[in-house]
Amino acid sequence: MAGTEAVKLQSEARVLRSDSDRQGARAFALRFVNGDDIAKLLVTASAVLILVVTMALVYELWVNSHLSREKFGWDFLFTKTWDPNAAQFGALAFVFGTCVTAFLALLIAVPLGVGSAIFLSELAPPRLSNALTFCIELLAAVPSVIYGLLGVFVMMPLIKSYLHPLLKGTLGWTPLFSGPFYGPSMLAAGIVLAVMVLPFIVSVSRQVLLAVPNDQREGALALGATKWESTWKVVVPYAKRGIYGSIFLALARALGETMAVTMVVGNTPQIKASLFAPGYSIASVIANEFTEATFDLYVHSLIELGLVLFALTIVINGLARILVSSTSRFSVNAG
Amino acid sequence: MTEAKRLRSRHLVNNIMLGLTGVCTVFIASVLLFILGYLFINGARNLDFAFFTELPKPVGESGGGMANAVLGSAKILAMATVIGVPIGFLGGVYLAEYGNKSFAFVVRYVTDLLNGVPSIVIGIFAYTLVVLCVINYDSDRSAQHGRVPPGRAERAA
Repeated sequence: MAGTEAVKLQSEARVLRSDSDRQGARAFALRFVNGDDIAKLLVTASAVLILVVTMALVYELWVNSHLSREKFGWDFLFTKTWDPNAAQFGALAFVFGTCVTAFLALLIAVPLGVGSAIFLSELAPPRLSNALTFCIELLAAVPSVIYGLLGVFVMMPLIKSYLHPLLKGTLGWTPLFSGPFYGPSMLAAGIVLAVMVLPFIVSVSRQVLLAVPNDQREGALALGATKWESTWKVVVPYAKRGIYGSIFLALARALGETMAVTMVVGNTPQIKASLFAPGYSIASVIANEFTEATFDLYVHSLIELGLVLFALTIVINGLARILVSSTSRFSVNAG
Repeated sequence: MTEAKRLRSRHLVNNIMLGLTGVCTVFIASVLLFILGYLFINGARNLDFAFFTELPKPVGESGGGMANAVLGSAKILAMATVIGVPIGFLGGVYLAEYGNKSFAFVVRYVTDLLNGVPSIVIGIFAYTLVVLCVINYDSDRSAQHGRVPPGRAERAA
């Protein structure tokens, strides 16, 4: 019906167009009355706008870090002096802190998350699996500041009284676990991040494991494999790329996490081997110092840190999307 | 004999590993329950109507509320919704209705990437876009002129 009306309106428009300019304008408007064209224009404009915003983001980060880029060049990434008073800025301590906390988080979260995903996809009855998955995905909805608070008030005392003596007693001879524990530390940040990224690993890994065809499981079982052997040697390798994808997604989250890390990492720009020592991360230093950056080079250095973080997450996210979408056809929504 | 032993050890591994996956799940779920429980037990007893309707009292006085923070969050959320929801929704409609060409692929990919960009980077973007246009943060100059903050005109000069 809309179609015939559109044809009528268009023919009317054609007649009208031959009249004066004013009528031509009216005809032009009439062509749009049926709405399809307007709708298409509107939604396309929105889609284009999303691209424009992303490009503007890159552009702004690039342009507003030019002072620091020109002054320090690539050395910015490889010097560890961060001294606003001397106008010397190097990102190494922050890059180190970001990478160590994120890596530590993955070290804890990946075995837990993948194990849990195996349970939810292979063992649990569907109803229980769905309920538990819903619960675990709720973890992703908890604001990061709450993780930070719990990290400070609950986790740090626990580490101090239980985990630190244990690690010190057994592994204290390695540089990783030497020195005193005051509370805010790389270890605390790593554990908080691990809890924060677990939901992403569990939910995406479970999806890709569920997407593995049942033939694979049945084939392995028919050959005499136990349930675990069929899961670990057949199902998990089949879903391997998707699981890697979920890990990369988690890594990107861990690298960019700001609030919770700032509250527990100690905010000290130093490079120490010990996990008990306080550190700093890229996102934390931006959050802490952005408002008090008093001269242009300072601001530009912080924005360049943002650029580094952006590049890092874009690359890792891109890899994750490619890996995940190559195993399963549904789109992954990490948000 | 050894075959039977082998079988038994395989079953043992089976049970242990499958049990461990269950332990993982219980652990993660209990973390969630702990967080919810902790917030509820420590937070709920301090909640009352005044918490949402009154302004904070000076440090040291008891009572007061978080009305300013609640209102601030609501305002920011409202603005974000007004700007973000139409664009996001219409963009989504575009992807669903016209989304089988290469341009749609690019849009979807970029949206996914944007979803993963850390919030602090988006914060910098908003800062450069909005704040830098309005205020010049150069404190030396504002100190010389004895006023804060110098406007855009001075920045241009």
